[in-house]
Amino acid sequence: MPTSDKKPPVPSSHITIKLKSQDDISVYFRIKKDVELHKVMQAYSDKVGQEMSTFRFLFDGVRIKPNQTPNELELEDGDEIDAFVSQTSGFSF
Amino acid sequence: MSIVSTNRKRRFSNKPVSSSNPTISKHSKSPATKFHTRCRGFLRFKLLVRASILQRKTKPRDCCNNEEINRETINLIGNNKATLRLHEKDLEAQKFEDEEEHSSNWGVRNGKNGNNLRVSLLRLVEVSNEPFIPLKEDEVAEVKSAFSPKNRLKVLVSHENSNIDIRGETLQCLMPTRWLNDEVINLYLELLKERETRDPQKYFKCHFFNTFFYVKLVSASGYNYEAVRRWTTQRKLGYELIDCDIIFVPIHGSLHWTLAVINIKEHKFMYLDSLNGVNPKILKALAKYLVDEVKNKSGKNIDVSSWDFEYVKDLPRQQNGYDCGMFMLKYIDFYSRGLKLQFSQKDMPYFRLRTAKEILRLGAY
Repeated sequence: MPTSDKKPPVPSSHITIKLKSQDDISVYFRIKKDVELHKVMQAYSDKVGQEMSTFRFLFDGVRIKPNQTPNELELEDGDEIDAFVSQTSGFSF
Repeated sequence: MSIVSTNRKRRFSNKPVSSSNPTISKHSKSPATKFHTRCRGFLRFKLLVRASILQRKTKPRDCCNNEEINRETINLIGNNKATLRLHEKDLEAQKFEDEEEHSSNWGVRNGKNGNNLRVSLLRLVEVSNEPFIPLKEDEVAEVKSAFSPKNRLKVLVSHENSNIDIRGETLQCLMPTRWLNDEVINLYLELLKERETRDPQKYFKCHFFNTFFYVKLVSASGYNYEAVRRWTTQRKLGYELIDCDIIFVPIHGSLHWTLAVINIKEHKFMYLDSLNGVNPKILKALAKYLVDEVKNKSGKNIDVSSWDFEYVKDLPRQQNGYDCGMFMLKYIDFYSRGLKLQFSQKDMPYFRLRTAKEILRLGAY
């Protein structure tokens, strides 16, 4: 008979996520699962020295809103968020 | 399919002579009756001939003639009426195949599980003015007001499924001469998908990748399927990519928007550049992607070595330094409708306004 005092591992309230640039440069952040990702986005933008509005953050191809949390997105430890640079084009002759 | 059967019924009911008067087929010995029978027979023959002429006259325009239909004609057909004609050609399956080879036609639709069915029973023909319905006055006013500088930082619309917010400054890229940005393009593509979901009979089964897909697939370190593997799970899409008729991949160059297409129905990879550029690297990457994707999602090996790489040359061309994004969106819009690319540079101001309106109302039509 299994011992009753053996509890299942409590899921950590923190996860480590990776923000990856288009040039495949990664920056790691350890955050709480219920904290808005705005914090991470701002920290990333500050780190690379650009305005946050110049980036589009996507998880598995879907745009992330700053007020979403890792819990909402079901992010897991080690997941990767893409930080794409905004795109505009028209073609200049 | 219900449309086909209705057409079929209609065609048969057009015959003025039905199963006919039973007296006609009766033999009679009397010369007078014989004479009457002959007269009736002749009359019947005459009616049949007339019916066939009428039928020919009322027969809808054949697909091959559509090249003759210019936009002016289409507009004349009915300004506010959506004129979409369906041709029934189920008795001419062989002719279909010939035509398919003859014209790189997009009008072939498949049945529910008909991805391997090259010839279908129903053909959607491009007699439609839907892409050119003029905007109403209030719609134009709404767009112009949204373009106003005071709305620059205001969130004008939020699209829930894609998490895209459109601010005034973002929408302003649809003003004449401005360059289109990723947010407007990606939101419009979402709206096209929703349009198809609303009315799946009318549009091809499409998948619209966003403008970042190709950036991720082929990044600085080269082709990497693993980077986009999770973008297309069944859970996320609700369908498998390989079940689509056509997959659109917008391509962002540093200064230029172009379009790559995985045409699953016609077994080819296509590249459309409003400035007529050619880029084999993109199509090669997409060919590799399709193989990897099918292998990963369904475990099957597909062979695309016989699929064509087509650099579409006969297409509406850009004649300025700012409309490439709009051209790209309209290539996608027209192809997803099964229409030939019957538009030109002069339509771009209208398309910009229309796209702005559709974004503001979060619905493409």
